[in-house]
Amino acid sequence: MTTEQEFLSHVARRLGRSPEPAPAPFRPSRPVGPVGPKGGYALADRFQQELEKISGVVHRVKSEGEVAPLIARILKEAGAAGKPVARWADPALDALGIDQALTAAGHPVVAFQTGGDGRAFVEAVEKAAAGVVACDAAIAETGTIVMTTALTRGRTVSLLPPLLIAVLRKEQIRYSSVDVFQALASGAMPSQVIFKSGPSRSSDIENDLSIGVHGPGALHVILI
Amino acid sequence: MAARAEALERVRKALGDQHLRGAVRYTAENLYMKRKAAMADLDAQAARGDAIGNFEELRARAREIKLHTLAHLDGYLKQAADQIRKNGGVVHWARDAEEANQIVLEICRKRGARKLIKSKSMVSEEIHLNQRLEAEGLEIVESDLGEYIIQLAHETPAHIVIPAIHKTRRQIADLFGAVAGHELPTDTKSLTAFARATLRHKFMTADVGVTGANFVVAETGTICLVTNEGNGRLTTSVPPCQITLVGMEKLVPRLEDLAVMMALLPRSATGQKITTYFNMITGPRRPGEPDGPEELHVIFLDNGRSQILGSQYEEVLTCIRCGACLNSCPVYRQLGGHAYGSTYPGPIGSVLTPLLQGLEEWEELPQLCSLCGACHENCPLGIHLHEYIIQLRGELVARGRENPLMRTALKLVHFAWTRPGVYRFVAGSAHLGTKPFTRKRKDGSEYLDNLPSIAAGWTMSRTMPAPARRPFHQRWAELERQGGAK
Repeated sequence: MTTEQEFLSHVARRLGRSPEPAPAPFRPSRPVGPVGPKGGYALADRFQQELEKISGVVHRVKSEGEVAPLIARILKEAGAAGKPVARWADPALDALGIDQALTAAGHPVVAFQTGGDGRAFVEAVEKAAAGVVACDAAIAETGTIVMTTALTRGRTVSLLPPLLIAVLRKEQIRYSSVDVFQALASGAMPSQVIFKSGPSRSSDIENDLSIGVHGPGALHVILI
Repeated sequence: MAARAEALERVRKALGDQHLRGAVRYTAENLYMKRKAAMADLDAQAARGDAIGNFEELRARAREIKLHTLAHLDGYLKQAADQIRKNGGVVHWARDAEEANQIVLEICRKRGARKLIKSKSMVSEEIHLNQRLEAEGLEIVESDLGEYIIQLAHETPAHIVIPAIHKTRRQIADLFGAVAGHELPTDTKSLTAFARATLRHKFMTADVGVTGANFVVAETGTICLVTNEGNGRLTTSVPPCQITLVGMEKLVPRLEDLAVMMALLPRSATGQKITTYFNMITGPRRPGEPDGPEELHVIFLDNGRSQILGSQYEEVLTCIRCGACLNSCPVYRQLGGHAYGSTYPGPIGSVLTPLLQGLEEWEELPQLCSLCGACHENCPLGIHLHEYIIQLRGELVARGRENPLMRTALKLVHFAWTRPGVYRFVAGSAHLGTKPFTRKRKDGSEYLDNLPSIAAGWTMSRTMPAPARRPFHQRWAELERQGGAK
C-alpha cells in the first residue's frame, strides 16, 4: 500500500518541488463580504418565502408558549395522533414544554439515550412518526435551516422519521451561507453540520418530482 | 483500432435508441434551461447586492480557490489528513483503483462487515467498487434512487447527476417488482414509497456506509456531501462505520470557500439555489453523542490524477462534477452517456478519461465534439474543455494515430488554400466535381448526399449544401465591376 509520505512526495514532484510542510495560506484577491438585507423581519419574510418555494411549511408564532400546542396540532393534522415522537434533549427545546404537550396528546416520547453503540436509540427513532429539533441557524437566501450535532441532539432525529418539525428563533436567521460558514470557522466544528432546505426530493423517475424518498417527506418550521 | 470499432458500435447503438435519445434530449434541455434561469436570478440578486457575486464573479472566485489549492495540493492534503486524524478519523492513501478497493476490502474484513450501503459516488464508479466487492461475496447496495434503478438493471449511468434518465416508469416498476416479488403500480409515488421502504431496511442493517465527497475542507478535515434525497445523510448517520472515497483534487482550503462553491454547484447541476441537503461531516460520533458511525475512514485517491497535475491540462482538476457541460453539449444531447463508454461522459469525460486512463485506449473520445465551446461557457469553473480537446487531438496526430487518408486530404487542402490560383480553380470546379453526389430539392436548392470515402461521415446522417455554381470570389469581382460594392 502507498504510504502518506510516498503519496505526498509524488504529488509534490508533479508540482516540481519537494513537499510543503504546510500549505501556503489562501488569500483570495477579494474577501467574500456580507451581503443582503439586515433586520429580523426582512430576513424572516425572505426565509419563509424561499422555504415555501421548495415545499416547506412555515408557522410563525409570537411567543414560546405557542410552540408546544402547535407541535401537537401539526402532528394531529399529519395523521400521527398517538404515534411516538423523537426529539432532541436540548436546552433550546427544554423550556418549551414539548414533552408535556406530547404526553398530554397521547404521543409516547422516544427516550433519549447516549453512550453505548447507539443502536437502540437509532432503532427507536426510526419507528417514530415525527422528529422535533431546534435550529442553530437559518439562511434566508435559500430557505435553509442549519442543525448541528451535540451530546443532546443526535443525527437521526431530523432524518429518519417521515415528518420533521424544527423550532427556529427569528434572531437566528442570517441572510447568506457566508455568515454561517464564517461563524462555524470561528469555533470547533461539530461532528455533523446539516444544511436542510425543504423536504427530501428526487427526480430520478422520468424527471418526475417525488418527495420523501429517503429523508422526511414533510418539513414544518416553527418560527418564533 | 479495437477501441475505435467499439466506440463506433456504441455510438451506432445510441443513435438507434430513440427512447434513450428522447429522454436524454428532454433531461439535458430541462437541466440546461433550469441552470440558465438560476444564473439569471443569481445575476439579478447580485445586481441588488443580495448575493455574494454574479455568475462571472463567482466563477472567477471559484477558479482562484481551486487553482490555488492545486498549486499547493501536497500541503493541503497533509493539512486535511492531519485534521481528519485529529477529529478521530483514519486516513488512507490509494495510488490506483486496485489499492482503493483493497483498502475498502481490508476495512470490511477487519470489522467482519458483509453488507454495505452507498450514497452516489462517481469515484466509486471510476474504481468499479461494486463489481470488486461483489466478486468477494460482499453485498453493496446503491441508495440514490437513480443509481439503485441502474444497479437493479445491471447498467451504468447515462448522466452523472440523473443516472437513470433512460429508464421508463414501466421498466422501473418491473425492476422493483422483481425485488418485491409481486407487481407494482407505475406511479411515481408508489415507486418512491417502495424504494424508501426497501432501502430503509438496507440502511438499518448495513455494516458500512460508503460515500464520495463533493468537497473536503482542509482547515477542518470536513467532508461535504451534496444530495437531494437524504441518502448521503443516512449513509453517514446510521451504519456503524463510514468509508469516504475522495478524489485527491476535491479539497478547498477554508470553510468560507464553501460559500462560493455551493453558490455554483447546485445552480449549475440542477438549477437549484441549494440542494435539499448539504452535509458537513467532521469526524465520527464523539463520546457521549447518541448516534453516528463509530469509525470513519477517508481514502484519498490518485488513480491518474497526479499525471494531470503539473501538466498543461491541470485546470481539468478544478471540475466539481456538476454536469453542466453535458447538458449544454450538442454531441451529448444526441448520444447520452452510454456512447462514451467511460465513467465520465460528455465534454468533461472526453478530456478527463483519456488523461486518467490513457489517450491510446480512449482515442475516440476527443472526437465526440463539435468544438462549439458551450461546455466552457456553462462551466462554473470556466474549464477550457474545447481547447483541451483540440490539444488531445493534436497529441493523437503527433503519435501518428490519425487516418492516413485524412492526412493526405488535409495536405491537399493546405496546398490549395495557400495558393490563390489553385484555390480559385478548386472553388470554381467544386460544383462540377461534386456533381455525382448532388441531389436537387423541390425548391431547386441542391445538396450533397452520400459522399465517398473519408467524406462519407459528413453525409452519413445529414446533408450539406452543394458548392455554388459560381463561387463567391467570382461573384464579388463581378459586383465590384458593376460598381455595386464601394
